[in-house]
Amino acid sequence: MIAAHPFGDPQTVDISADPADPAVVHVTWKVGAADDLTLLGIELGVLPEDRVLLDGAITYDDGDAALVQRAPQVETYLLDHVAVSSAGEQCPGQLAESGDLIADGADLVFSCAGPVAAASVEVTTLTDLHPAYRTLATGPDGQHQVYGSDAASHDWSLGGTATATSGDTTHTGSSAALQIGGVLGAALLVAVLGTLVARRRRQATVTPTPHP
Amino acid sequence: MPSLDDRLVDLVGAPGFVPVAFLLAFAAGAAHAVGPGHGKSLAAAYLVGSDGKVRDAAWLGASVAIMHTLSVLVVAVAWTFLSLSDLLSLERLTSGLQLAAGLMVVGVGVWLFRRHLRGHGHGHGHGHGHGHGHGHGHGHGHGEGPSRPGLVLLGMSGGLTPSPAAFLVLVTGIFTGRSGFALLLVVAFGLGLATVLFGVGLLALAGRGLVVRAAESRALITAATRVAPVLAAASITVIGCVVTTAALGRLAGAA
Repeated sequence: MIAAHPFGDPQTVDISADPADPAVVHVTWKVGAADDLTLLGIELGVLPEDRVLLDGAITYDDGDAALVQRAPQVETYLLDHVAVSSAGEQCPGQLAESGDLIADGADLVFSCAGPVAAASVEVTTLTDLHPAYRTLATGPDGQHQVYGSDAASHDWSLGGTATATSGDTTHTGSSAALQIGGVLGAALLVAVLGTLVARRRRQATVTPTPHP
Repeated sequence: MPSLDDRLVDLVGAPGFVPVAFLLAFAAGAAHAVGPGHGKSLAAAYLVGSDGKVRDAAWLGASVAIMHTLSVLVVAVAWTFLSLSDLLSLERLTSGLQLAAGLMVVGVGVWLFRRHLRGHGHGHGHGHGHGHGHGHGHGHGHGEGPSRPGLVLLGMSGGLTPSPAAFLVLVTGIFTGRSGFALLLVVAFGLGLATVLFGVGLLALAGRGLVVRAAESRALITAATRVAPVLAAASITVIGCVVTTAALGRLAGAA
């Protein structure tokens, strides 16, 4: 079994509306770490299979990323694994720009039949190589979603005039702050109580309380 | 078969089975600590060479768990909300943290050395540490008598570099609105990590007890236990150097 991820950024997609054309949806895909690109290269036949070691780890060269980025198979792969539909209809896509897949990512452009207020975006990149991959997706107004092998499709609100999901960033942020703060507060409480109990017990052993 | 780490990420989104989720997170943390390069040799070295107690092993484990949870929390929140990935890649960040961890270990090793030399007038030891330079080295060691700051520092260096699985769990939790649950899983992961290192500490203590008992009848081993603190200090310094060098190598490679 090939290892899903050593250290490195996870793969991401950013979904956005086109400022000039309301019928166009942009999906920018970034691969994450260099070894993911090597894994993809092996899958697409760009790199030799002997890169995968017996224990599933992958050896990668500095030149791998450039080789894979240039390969025409990448465009086909991305258009096979990223799909946008609006109002129940598939929007045909094309690869508009693809540079450094780690730093800049590949920009996929989907042209829908009419102006898009809400779109369903499917992302299955890399999950076909290993089910443990996740894609962390961001959209307009701070929308967040996670794509995985069991969640390949999510709905996004793209109506430029901050509609249904306005203020989503603050929502995610405050919800996270609230939950994380709660957990940290509880942990602190447990630590304080534990210290108090331990101190009590120690005092009790130093000066044994006489029985009445 | 998917690894424990991989299954852990699945659990963040899966409803129900919560006790199972915590057990799995704990097991994943323990499995992570059992892997190479987590400074277990440091813990053993420190313990064997010093007058460590069970309580010191517990301090060590606790500081690893707390530091690991905090580092995952800080890195995940920064990655999600502060566009950390635009500023620097996680690989570079974790290499930098590993460098800091290595330097902390070197610092503790040198400090132990000086403390020992000052305390005993003379004494020299040949460092014979076989360091692990694997991937992300977590270093830490063990408490010598009252020297708790050194102990906690070693523990902190062990938890300074966040585990990839724990990071992904927390980021997924934040993205799906379940950050509290995800953070609890990370805490359980840290506890699993700490438990293994605590266990290693106890084993080393038991081993040292055996040596000391045997030494009562053999002059040679008495001498051996006397140089043990020096050997421990030297080993910790050497392992710290190995971790530091590995981190520098990765930083240079990523540049």
